[in-house]
Amino acid sequence: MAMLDVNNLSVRFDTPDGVVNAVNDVSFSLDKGQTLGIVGESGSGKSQLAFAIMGLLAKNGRAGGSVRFNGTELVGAPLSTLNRIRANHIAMIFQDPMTSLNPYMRVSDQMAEVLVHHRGMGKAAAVAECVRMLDAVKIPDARGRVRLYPHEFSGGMRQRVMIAMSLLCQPDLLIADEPTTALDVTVQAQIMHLLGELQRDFGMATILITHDLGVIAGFAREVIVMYGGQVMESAPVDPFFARPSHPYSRGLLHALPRVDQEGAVLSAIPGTPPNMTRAPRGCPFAPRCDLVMASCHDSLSPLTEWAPGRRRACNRPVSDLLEDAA
Amino acid sequence: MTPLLDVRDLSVVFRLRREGDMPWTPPRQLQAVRGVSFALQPGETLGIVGESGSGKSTLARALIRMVPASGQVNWAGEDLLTLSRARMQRHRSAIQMVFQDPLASLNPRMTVGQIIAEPLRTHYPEIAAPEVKARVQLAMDRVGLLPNQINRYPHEFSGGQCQRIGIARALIVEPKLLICDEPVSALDVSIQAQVINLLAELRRDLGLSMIFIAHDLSVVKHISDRVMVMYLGRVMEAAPKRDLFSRPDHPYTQALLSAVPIPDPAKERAKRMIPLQGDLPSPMAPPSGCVFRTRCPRAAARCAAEVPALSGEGRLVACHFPGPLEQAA
Amino acid sequence: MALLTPIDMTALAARMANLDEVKGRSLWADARLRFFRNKAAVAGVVLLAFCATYALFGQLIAAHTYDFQNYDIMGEASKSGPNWAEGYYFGADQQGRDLFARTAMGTRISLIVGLIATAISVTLGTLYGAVSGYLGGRVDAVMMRLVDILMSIPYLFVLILFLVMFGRSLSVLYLAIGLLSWPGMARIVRGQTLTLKGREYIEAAQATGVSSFRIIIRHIVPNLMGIVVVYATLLVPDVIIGESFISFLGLGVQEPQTSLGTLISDGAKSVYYNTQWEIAFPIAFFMMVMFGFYFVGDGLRDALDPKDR
Repeated sequence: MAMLDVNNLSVRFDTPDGVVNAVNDVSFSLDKGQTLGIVGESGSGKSQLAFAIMGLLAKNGRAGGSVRFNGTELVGAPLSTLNRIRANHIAMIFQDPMTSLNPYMRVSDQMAEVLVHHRGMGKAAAVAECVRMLDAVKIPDARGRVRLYPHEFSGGMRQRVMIAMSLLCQPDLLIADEPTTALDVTVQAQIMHLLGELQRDFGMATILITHDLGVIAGFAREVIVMYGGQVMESAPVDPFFARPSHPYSRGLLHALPRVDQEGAVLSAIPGTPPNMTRAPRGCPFAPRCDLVMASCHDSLSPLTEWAPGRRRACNRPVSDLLEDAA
Repeated sequence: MTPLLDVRDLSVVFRLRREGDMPWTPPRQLQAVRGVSFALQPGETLGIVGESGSGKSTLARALIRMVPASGQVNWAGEDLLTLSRARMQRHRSAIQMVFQDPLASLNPRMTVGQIIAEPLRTHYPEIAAPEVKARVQLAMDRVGLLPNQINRYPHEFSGGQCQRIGIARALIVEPKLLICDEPVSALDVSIQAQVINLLAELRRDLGLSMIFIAHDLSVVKHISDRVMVMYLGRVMEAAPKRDLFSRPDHPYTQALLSAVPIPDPAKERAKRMIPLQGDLPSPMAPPSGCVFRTRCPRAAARCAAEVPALSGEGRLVACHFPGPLEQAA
Repeated sequence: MALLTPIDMTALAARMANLDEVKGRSLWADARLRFFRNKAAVAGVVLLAFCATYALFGQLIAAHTYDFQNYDIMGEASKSGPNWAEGYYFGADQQGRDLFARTAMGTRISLIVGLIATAISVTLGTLYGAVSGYLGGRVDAVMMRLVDILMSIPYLFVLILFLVMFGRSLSVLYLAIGLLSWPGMARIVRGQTLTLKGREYIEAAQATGVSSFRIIIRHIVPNLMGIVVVYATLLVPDVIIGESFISFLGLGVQEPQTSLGTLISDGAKSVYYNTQWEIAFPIAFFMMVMFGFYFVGDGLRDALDPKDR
């Protein structure tokens, strides 16, 4: 049994404009020490998927399906179970660290609070542990800086504080939701490098949610591509980047300007992402797909494994795509 | 060939007053842009890259006098910085700007037609309403919007379409120079490519010159002829695109380039990262000498004492110890 | 200035041939939809509509005019209570005048004073605040210090002074209240303008050379309307209360005209004689007007600013 088992997870939101199906029937599993990248554009449901796993959906959201963490069902679990899991096993970091740091509390106080509260440690020991953790995320002069307030750190340092805080309870699973999107590219490189090191040192599994395929390529071993709330493709990174098996993944890769290649015209994907209040019946990508068939507008074949470790949801036979790519 | 735009020694200083300062307290000074010079040829696209705090957006705003600046901005035989308001107004239609946040740059209470028509009505008030409408529809058609959407409001469009509206607004007065400030950084990857292609196509068809500001090096590489790298308000390196990306000479450019993630797992794992130490220094108190020296792997005593001049033939580098990566390592 | 290239309409026309112009849905239309989904707000509108109808047409239905004194019932509490047969639906006051007609009159005057004074205050405050906030710098500093000074003047004393100096008349009343209550509006508008000023669409207009005046009129003010409308609906009851207070002190509208405040004042004086109706009906209408405006104000705030809930 895998550490994290997500089965047919769906997320719906009741809004004044109707029900929004943010995530539809997503299934995947993750083992200890694995790195999974979830890539998708805005509105693809990738963040809501993470919130659903953590039980952090907004009030008008409902999750369906199942999320099992070491055998414990999290969907519909009582708050006490969720709190226990969130405190000891799953940690999450966000795009904007300020949303989860209290601006009126010293970093030392808010970090130590976690340990005092969950581990029953004494205040002094807790602060010492916090300093050790800030050292681990390479904050220079951690001992001196632990007494500062969050706004006294730069964006990159703040994200490091956030990471240090999430690591305090030595989680088995770290979910990073666009952790570097708000940061400059050199800072992003530092943070991703740090996350890679920590992931190896602490041996935790990591789910990295991002819109940036480059970041995925450098960090993850497995990748899931989401579009319109559904999984389009999932694969190990190497074959995925070399030979994507879904028209959307392929379109995405071709639309990317790259520093390592001389580009002519980018092959943009025409059209706009679907409006999730009026989600299409068939494949959500059908209106923008260059390989669309008549059947795509009515139904989408379910995600199926077509090669070891590689799954895809597409009505086109895989040969249609791979011939092209070759 | 005479350049279209010739910028000499442009500097921007912001005077900042802290909340609660007494009226007689001297304001603190923030040098956002320091001594930037460059020339832009007709039809050329200059990419400006830099991280936050590099002054790249301030530079763009200084060119069209949206922030007070010193130095020279020579355009059509006149220095824009010394012109009277009325004379400056005559040049404004020739230099148009495209902004970062597609939705936020459109007034939510105005229809798309009113938004796109605004520059036209400002600079050519004599044009009659029916012709204004026709020109708006033509511009909409040109940027790939359906002309029948003229009465819709911005919130009824997606991010990519909003950016098209912003581009149509800039194009309607037929500018010679388009300043694009991070035009695609708020857009999704698939939409980003559409907008980049549109800009490239417009540049080709209309013979536009462009200043393209972005923090994303791959985007800049894709669209620019020449690239200028900025750090803490100063130009670090400026070179034709091919040279700069294949053989960067400035240690900052090298670090920046090495930090860009490549969507190819094998290359990404194999690539050598040049980590930058520490944080960006405060622009209130920039380092002496070379502003990059506090984080530079090649820094020496000379770097703290002397400001390196931007020099070279064709490719310009501001560094006391320039050179490709291999030699320096 | 460069000449614009001539336009080729035929190509465009060909492409437009089978496209109908789509009508847009403005933010106002969205807000209207949200407003009418809000039950309390709709109740407020109904309440206000009821009061307004009564204020406008109450005197036509009334059996007696508002200034007719019935000497038979004057000063006699036992005879002046509500009496449907005689047409005194709400009873009569100490002078033997029909309270139904007088309350209609009072509601009308109070609403007129509230609406006109608010209109004056909102117009002045919006323009002043928008100009001050948009221009910024020294101009802003001077303009706002002026507002501070105006706000530190004791409002009621000046109002009373105005009424004494220029005589007690309705127009002096609303002009004075309007002229005295705009600084609060100006402050709110200025704060909002400062946040609007940083928006990219303002920057876009500046970049293309739109004049400051046009930016204020076309970009700032329309985007302020949300907060202005909300503040105005909450200002109307304030003004009505202020007017009532002035009238309560006996400085408001002149006899035989009346306002809700005057009526409540009179009613309060005669409570000794067990004429509760004299105070009950004016207060009922006063409260209905207050509730109406507060409900509508809250509804508008929610409708215009859906994020802030």
